[in-house]
Amino acid sequence: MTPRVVPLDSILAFEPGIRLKHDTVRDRYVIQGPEVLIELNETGTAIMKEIDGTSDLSAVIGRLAKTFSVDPATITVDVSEFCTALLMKRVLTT
Amino acid sequence: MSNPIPAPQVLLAEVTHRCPLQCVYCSNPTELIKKTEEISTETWGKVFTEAADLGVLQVSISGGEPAARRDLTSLIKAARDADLYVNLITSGIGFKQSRLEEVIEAGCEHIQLSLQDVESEGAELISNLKKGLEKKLEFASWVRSHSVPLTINAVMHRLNLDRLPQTIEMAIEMGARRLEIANVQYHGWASFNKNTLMPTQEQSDRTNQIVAEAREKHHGKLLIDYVPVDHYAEYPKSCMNGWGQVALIVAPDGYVLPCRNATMLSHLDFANVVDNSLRSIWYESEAFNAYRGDAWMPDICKSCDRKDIDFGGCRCQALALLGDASAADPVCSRAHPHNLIPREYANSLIATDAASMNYRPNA
Repeated sequence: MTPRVVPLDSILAFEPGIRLKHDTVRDRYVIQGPEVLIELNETGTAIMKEIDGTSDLSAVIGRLAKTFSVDPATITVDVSEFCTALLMKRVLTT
Repeated sequence: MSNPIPAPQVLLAEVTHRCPLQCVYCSNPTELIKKTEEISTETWGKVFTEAADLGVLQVSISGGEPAARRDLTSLIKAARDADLYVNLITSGIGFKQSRLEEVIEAGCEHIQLSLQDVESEGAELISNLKKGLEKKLEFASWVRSHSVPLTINAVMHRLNLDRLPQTIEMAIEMGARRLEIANVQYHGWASFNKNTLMPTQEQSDRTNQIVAEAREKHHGKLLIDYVPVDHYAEYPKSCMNGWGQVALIVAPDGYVLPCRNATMLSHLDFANVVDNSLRSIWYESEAFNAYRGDAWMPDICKSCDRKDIDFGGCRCQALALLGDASAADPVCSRAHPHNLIPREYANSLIATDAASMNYRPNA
């Protein structure tokens, strides 16, 4: 079953018990949760830092596009799929 | 050693072996550590700080029943002060609602609750405790009233595997985000009851199918982790994700182990946190280096393309079934091409079902 991609007007938040941590020993960011440990690359870290529980997905994409000086349209699919995968893992909630 | 030793990520803190339940498959060693031998609150604080400095990211505070320690709240706080992600692994027995609130207030981020059976009688038969199931349901309802995520750890065996669909439903009713469907590992206490608990091949096959269907049905809602019956597997489990690669266990008396059952490997010497740093134990101790890398492996494992997947499998299983802790895991169909040892063994156990249960003591 392929999940529906999360709509752009969804407000995304961390599920309770999920946190973003700077792993200083390995100099990387990780998502921590119940038996969850996801290593993030630079892009993943940037996305997770923008998820604040009040912005909708299009606002998150807008801010990321500005930070990386790209057209929002060029990153919409990638960011949406990243967030959808984390929704399915119950790292994020709408 | 060909590869550098990675920093550990996971700490299992077995803070006590005392427990109100007497489960017949308890994963504690058969020589239980007494209350008087348990290390202090301050020593646990040192363990958590050293673990975090070493690279550990999460701690599971486990037992026995961790609530048997009066300083549980202080332990949780010390682990959070070290910025570890704190899991509490509990039976839910011996908790009042106010104590659960203190534990959550202290910084517990995830609660894992064990489930022996969906039927009261079955749960009592396994744990030798009356009303255990009812108390667990009440505990789960308290957890549900907070925003702390709940995992149900359902331990499965021949007597309850046919109730797996009801077990999945109960986990959902209890409000679980995660469900661990974990078949009994037949070491320690479980080895005294293996005739009664060992599932049949048919049950094992059906379980694989039920789990696959449930994962699809509850996709994105209930996360399901599954530990199959390894006696019927083709390849070994990736035991501990490799010996001394990811995780370390600190026992109630401060001894540091590469796996929960490692004390059965009696040829190894284990070091203690009271007089050693966690760093020196992880990187330099004999026990942690014993099965790292591939130098210890038999040739068939050394040359195998799966050696970085399952790391040669389970050392305790090799010792238990083959009498040699350095042998290829007895489950492996490549190392043991006829692959009859674990299956035949399982069948012989089932054929000689025991008359009574052997319970572990409370302390």
